[in-house]
Amino acid sequence: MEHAHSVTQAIAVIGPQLRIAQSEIGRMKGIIDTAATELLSSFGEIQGVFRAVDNGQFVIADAALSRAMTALQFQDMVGQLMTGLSERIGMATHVLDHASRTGEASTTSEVTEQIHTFPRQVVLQHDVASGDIELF
Amino acid sequence: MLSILAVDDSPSIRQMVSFTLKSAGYSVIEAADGTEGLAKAKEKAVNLVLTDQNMPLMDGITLVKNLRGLPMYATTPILILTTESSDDMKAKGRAAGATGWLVKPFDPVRLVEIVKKVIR
Repeated sequence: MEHAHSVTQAIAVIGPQLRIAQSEIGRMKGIIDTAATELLSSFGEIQGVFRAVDNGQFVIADAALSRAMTALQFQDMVGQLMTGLSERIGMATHVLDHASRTGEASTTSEVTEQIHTFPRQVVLQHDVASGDIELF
Repeated sequence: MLSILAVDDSPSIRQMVSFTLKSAGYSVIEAADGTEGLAKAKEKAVNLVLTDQNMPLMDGITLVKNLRGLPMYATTPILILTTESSDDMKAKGRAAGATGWLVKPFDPVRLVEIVKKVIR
């Protein structure tokens, strides 16, 4: 009985922490999005300079700018990973809430289905090198 | 001017795609998900569609299927630009009628090369 009580107490402590973590992931995503937008805005200004120099004939030929554009897409990959992490925490929180209320580990079939069908990896790439291209 | 519809739920990716394609001389229309993309594609015929796969409301493969169901998009090149790189997903994209599968991150120079190769 004492064991069951301590498990419930542990769940009561973990649940709010997970919700805070989920909220912080949302904030991190917002900060990264803002930083990426600022960088892109700078790219726009750089492009403007090239256009002025090349009299409107600017094409992305500058290798450094191209590499920067490729690397900046880390923001999209990180954003997707954060969204996936946040969803996983949301599912775990739901299961814990249910367990703390009912004392049972089982949860609604909707969440069980969500957990089972959630991809193991939301983003497969491990670096920011440009990806494969396949024409059908 | 040839026009391209860029569909992606990430504002920064849309911005990067637009930046790249406009710099190469194309007109770019942006949409934030498959539903908006389909609506904009119906409003004005474009010469190429470049879409993400994982998006809210309507994913990229569903968008491809919907577009292929429209006579005006029966032969228009449709490229999927996504972080998804599994063979299974590629096969689904191909079966839906996609012209090609590009895995993010994209290299702007390569993207323009591919667009030039397939656009009509």
